[in-house]
Amino acid sequence: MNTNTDSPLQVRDVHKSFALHGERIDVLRGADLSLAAGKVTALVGRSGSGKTTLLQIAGLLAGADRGSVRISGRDVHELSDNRRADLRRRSLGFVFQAFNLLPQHTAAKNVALPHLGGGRDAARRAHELLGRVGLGARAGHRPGELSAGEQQRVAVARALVNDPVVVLADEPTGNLDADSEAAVLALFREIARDGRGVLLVTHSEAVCRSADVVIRMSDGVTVPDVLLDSGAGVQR
Amino acid sequence: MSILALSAANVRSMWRRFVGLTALLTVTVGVCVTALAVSASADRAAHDRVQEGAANRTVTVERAFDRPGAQPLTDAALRTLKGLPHVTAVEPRAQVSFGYKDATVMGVLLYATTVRSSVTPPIVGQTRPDLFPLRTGEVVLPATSQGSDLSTLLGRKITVDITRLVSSGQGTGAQDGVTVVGLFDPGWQVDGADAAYADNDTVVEWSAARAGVTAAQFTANVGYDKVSVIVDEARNVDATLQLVQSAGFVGSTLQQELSALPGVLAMIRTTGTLLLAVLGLVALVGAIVVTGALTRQRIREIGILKAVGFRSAAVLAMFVGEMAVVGVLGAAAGALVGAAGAAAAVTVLRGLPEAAAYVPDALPLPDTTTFGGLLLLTVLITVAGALLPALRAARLAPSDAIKEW
Repeated sequence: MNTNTDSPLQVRDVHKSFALHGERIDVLRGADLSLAAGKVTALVGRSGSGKTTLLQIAGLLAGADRGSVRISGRDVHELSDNRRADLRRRSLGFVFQAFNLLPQHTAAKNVALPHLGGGRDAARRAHELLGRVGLGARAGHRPGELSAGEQQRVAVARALVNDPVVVLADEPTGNLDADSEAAVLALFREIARDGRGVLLVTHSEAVCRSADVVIRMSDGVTVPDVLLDSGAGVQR
Repeated sequence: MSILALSAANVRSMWRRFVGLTALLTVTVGVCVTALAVSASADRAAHDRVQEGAANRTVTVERAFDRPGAQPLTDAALRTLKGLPHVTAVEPRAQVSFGYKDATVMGVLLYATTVRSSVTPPIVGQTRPDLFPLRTGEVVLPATSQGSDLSTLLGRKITVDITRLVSSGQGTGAQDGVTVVGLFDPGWQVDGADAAYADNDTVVEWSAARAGVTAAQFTANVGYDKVSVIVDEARNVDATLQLVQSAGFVGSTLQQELSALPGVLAMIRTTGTLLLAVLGLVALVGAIVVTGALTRQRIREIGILKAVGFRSAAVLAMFVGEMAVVGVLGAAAGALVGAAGAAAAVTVLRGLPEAAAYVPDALPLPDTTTFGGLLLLTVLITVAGALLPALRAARLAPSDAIKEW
């Protein structure tokens, strides 16, 4: 397990349970997670193993019943909702399987969204990022006018607009064809090279192969890291 | 991009979703503007016709026999009163008794009264179209008086009995001939229960005879019973009254000729107020329902916004901002619809005899304050309606909003 204290995101002994039809379901039972800056980490596991819940807790979108979450070394447990929102905006970037772009706005406005109030700087940064993901010419297009791969690249650009230390993605290539998948994975590797921690939740073997670190989840716990040769798919 | 710009962009992009609410607001504001416009115009018309009517601009000066120092209402007094600031006219008034009896009329005692051009009696019969001013030797009688029907006298020259003073405390009967040129509604008793109207010369002549002097001596020394002092504007009546009293005259003001608007216009005002309340409520409910529905449709969007770092207050502000934009659009469109509605209402009201006099020629519109207040109220109602569902939306946890990662 990576215990690097310089890790941009550390999750320790996190527990989470839900009540369903009067029955308690323990989704997370002491899960640990530590991202390394500059590396792509893949979180894999069967459906229902708790990956998404762990991602939500790590991304401050949901709270844990027990355990700690640290972002850039800062424990977020005591933070108010507003502080958590601020931290999400400043330090975290999200990429969703279904892209989750706002259909009423152009690609540029979607990218600039987390930078609300940023004025011309936000617009300039959005155009810059769209150029970086190869969509500079599509800035004025709405999501409905873009292909699935293009929409996901817009989502990646949005995740980067506030220069986050961590990018979290859930099945980012789940809705993409092979070519688009390769392009998006290349983007994630490029993002990691900027020094960010990247966490990809996935079922995809291709995603696992592209990751520097693979963490498996089973029945609400994480198993020790399995380091792979980058892109080689070989257990170290 | 600011929150307001984001709200405006959302409304622009999702305008189809907001059409229903905007239409509701447009109709609401339109109806209210129409009602308020007609009502406000009626108010103005009533003000011009009633408040600023001659009767309401009158100071009545009376001869005070029992008040030391009170001036008689002679020709000199009339000149003094006419010279006061804001006075546009003075109308001397006198009243003197006369009797009439013939084969059909058992005998009536009436009071010949000078006619005030500002307050003429309601005529029910006349020998010529324009009765007033009366010519010398003409009278207008009540249609009935003291149990006698006087309508049979219309158009006839009759001989009446008057009184002439021959020595102190002693009078004798005299006769004079007058022509009955009109009849008025006996319910009109502004100048007393048994008043009849005669031309000024006749009243002065009979009054002089009763006082035992000539007409010239009467107006120069004895004086009239009352003088109506007509003031230029209603707001100057009190000041003029003070000047009249300061000059040694006994004066008082008339009550308003009318204290209320005609029924139909009062009804319009009441209806407008009720509509304002009812439609305001409808707009509020509509805003709540539509905003609630929009919120439910946009839960994922809320999750996305919160995931990318929007605070709850920012999400709330965005929803409220959207409703404010819709409110402004609805209010503006409603104002145009209201102006058209007011024009249509005026056309209809011109066809109603009891209201036609109070309907202005120009397109009626509410005053700026009312208009601005209505528009502000519309926006506030819409925003208030949006507040609760938007608050509920803003409080959603991001993980609840985004179910599908």
